[in-house]
Amino acid sequence: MAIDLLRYLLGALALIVLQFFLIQEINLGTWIKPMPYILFIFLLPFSFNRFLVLAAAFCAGLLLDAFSNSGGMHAAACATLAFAKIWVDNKLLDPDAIQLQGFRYLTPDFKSFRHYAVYILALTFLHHWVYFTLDYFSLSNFFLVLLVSLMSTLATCLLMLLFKLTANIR
Amino acid sequence: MVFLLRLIRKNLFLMVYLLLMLFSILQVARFNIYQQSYFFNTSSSFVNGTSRMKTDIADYFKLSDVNKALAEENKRLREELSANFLAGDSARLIVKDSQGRKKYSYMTASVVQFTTHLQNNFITIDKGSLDGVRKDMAVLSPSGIAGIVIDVSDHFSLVLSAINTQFKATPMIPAANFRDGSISWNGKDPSLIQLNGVSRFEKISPGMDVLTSNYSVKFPPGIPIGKIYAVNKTGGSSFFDIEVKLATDFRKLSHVYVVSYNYAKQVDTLNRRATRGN
Repeated sequence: MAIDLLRYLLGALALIVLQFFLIQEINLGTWIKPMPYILFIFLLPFSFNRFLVLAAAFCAGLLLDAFSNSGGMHAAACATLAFAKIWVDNKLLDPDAIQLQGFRYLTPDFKSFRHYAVYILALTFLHHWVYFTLDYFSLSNFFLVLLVSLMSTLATCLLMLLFKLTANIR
Repeated sequence: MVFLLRLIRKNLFLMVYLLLMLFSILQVARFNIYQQSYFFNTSSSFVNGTSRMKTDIADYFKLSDVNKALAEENKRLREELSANFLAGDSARLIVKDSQGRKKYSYMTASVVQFTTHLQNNFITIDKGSLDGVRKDMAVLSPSGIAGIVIDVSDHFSLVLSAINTQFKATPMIPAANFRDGSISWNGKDPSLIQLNGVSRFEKISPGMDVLTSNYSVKFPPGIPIGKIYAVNKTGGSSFFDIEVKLATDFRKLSHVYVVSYNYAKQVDTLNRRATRGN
């Protein structure tokens, strides 16, 4: 368990560092700004203390904000993501399946990949929507924000899939 | 009371979440009203250490571009040396010497941290109030404008980048004899800035140089903003939509100059007196 925890923490840190040093720097145009570091929230097991999850997500967001001069954009988005994830996990998932989750089993016990994809896409979109709403910070850009969030969500999910595949190869 | 306590206990998680959201949104809001300093920014030393590490690494990859930009600037400055000019008329020879009062002073600074992916981008530089940096000073890159200082700590300053939706500058286009309109960024492409308020009757074409105007208090006059990239006409409007290709490449920012306008205080006092008179 301790080794799993250590591995998880290192992985989360690596994701945040990667976001700050590399992904933020790559220019993919106005519409696409991927943030695959949120993978670390998805990797948490369902059985985890919810206050701890919320605090961890918020702190990680705040850390990124401090480095990239973005106020509390990442923090707000990550907190929302953590909150929504916990809500979905508790309300919509099979409670029996929750007991099975540990650090080792990163994929939730969903019926099919399609359900899992919807779960990830929806939560990622929520995170991105909060982030870009705070970034643009005006209601006149509502549809622009939706478009940017949607495009970035697709890019983020692709990158997260890539990370997960490469991390699982070993 | 018991009811209240029960309510809190029942919704504790939601309340914690709402508190965290409130805190972060206040951060963003305060960040937008950029006169105030805020809680988490790159003025703290831990963040700066890490950010500097990143720029130190990135600087190696930018070296050749930075060198090119500096060499280009040296060339431009050398061409302005008085020794390169023939005095046209010996009877009206103008001698440029240092007797006149200096209007602008320059100091160099290194970029510690910058972003280009946000709507409100900032630059952190490694000179602060102890080095003489003050709020509202202009910041230039070797090739053009970079931003305006909005917050200073002892050893670092926060600069409102030109690619920030809250940035404003007054331009002039000498080739079209035009001194009006305003420069601001629409938040889309970090290499293009927008020039607004240019009447359709102005003779403006792509490729013309856009410089900072003489009316600007913060920026010295004649500093390159960029070159006109596209002149668009939107139906019905009496103004052009003009895209300006920025002279500064904000993705390769490494060394900057902080400009202090030595008479800023006097201009400020006059302006304040004028507004108070109204």
